[in-house]
Amino acid sequence: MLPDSVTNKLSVITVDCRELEPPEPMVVVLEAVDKLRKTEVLKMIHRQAPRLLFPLLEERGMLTHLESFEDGSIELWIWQEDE
Amino acid sequence: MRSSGLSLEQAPPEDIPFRFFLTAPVFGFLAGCLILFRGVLLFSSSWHFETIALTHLITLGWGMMIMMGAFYQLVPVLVGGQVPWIALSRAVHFFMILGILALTGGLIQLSPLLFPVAIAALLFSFVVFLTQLLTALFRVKANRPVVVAMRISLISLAFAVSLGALEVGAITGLWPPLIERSIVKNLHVTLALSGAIGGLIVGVGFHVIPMFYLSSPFPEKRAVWILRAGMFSLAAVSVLLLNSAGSAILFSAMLPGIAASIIFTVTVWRMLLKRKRKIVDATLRFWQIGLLAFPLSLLCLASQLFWPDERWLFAFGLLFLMGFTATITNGMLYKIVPFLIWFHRFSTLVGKVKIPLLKDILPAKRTSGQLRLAALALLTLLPGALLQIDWLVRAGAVFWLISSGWLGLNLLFAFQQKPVTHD
Repeated sequence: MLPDSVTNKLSVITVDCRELEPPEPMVVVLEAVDKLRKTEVLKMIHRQAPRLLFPLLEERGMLTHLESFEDGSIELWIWQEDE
Repeated sequence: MRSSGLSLEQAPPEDIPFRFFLTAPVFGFLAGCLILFRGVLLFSSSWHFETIALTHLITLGWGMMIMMGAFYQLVPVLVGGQVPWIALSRAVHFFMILGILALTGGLIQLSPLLFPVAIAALLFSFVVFLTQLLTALFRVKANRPVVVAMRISLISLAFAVSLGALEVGAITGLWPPLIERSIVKNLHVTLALSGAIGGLIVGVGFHVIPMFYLSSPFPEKRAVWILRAGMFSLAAVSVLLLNSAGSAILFSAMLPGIAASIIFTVTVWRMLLKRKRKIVDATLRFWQIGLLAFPLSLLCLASQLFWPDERWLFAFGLLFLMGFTATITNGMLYKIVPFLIWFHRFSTLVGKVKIPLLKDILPAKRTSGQLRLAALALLTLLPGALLQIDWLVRAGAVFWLISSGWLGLNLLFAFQQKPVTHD
């Protein structure tokens, strides 16, 4: 279940990285994260959990929620903490 | 759908995988020098001490160095395992180098005193490495094919190392021989090559082919079947070797493993042909050469059972070690090293400054020439060794040592890429 702080956001920006080769998924997501507003949440769709991305998101002070599917694909929700 | 929280698994410090990766080409170069100096003599008997030295320069110096670096890097990143006492990996690397030099030095008869040093240094390295990695892998709950393959690889390695230590100790008189030498040799080779090296390359292949080449995923049921067939053959052949079984029954036990290697090759080949980005680079060609060499090498090994001739063993050794192991690991280094450089040095700068692409960190023109030379080395050494043509073997050695040196320089080039600072 997504936390309330995410479902309350006004808009979802979806970034589909399934057809990008490393490290493009990280570049695309980090560039999108840098433009993310507090009212927005970013949804990353990828073939697998982007483990190396997590420390970079943590460094930027982002909150995340990871949903994994049986085929190994994931949806990673990324947002800023409400003040 | 299952939901999980944030995973904070982190890659190991940059220097850990790199120190292993950068050492491999040095041992490749030394192996080339040994072939150049000794020529076709190295392919006269598989019992020849200098032939055993050559084999270990490649299996331990090249293969294990890259495998160890890959395990330290991939277990946290691919399967989410936490490798304990990671700082000890630097000692593992140091004692591996010391152990390999002492072992090969002892085998080429520099001094018998080198064997006890080799046993102590290599046992220290392998015990620490296996304890770290088996702890990490058995803590991971997932039973995905890549995890199972890594466990098979490590357990095979543990047995192969124990047999190797038994043999070196027996040769040097440290302890009496417990098992007949030919049985130890065959068991050691089977577990080290098919189990430890084959297991890891196949398992990592399930995962990295879709990741780096944007292909369809490796079919999971087929991956499970390949691993079961491989495990069955490995266990059955080991038990039969211990019981000095005949050729026909040994061949029957090898069949599922050979079939698994063919199915792996055909599946990965088709995945590569159907990849979404139709870019042809050196890494793709390294994979294709390695995929062809894998089942061919096992067929040569099986042929030796029916037509006893050491040349089948040399064909197996060259195809498996230089054609399959060195080729695929060479290609994977060209994917993994630039990616790690990018991750450790440039990823934190995304959005802040212009950052290089992977092709800027290691340009294609540097890798394509080395690919041609590596292929030429294999195509020269193979007929040279089988037809016992000395000049061809020495020419192959020159290609191989230049190719190894070139790989080393390419990795160093990538390693020197750093963000530009403006003071």
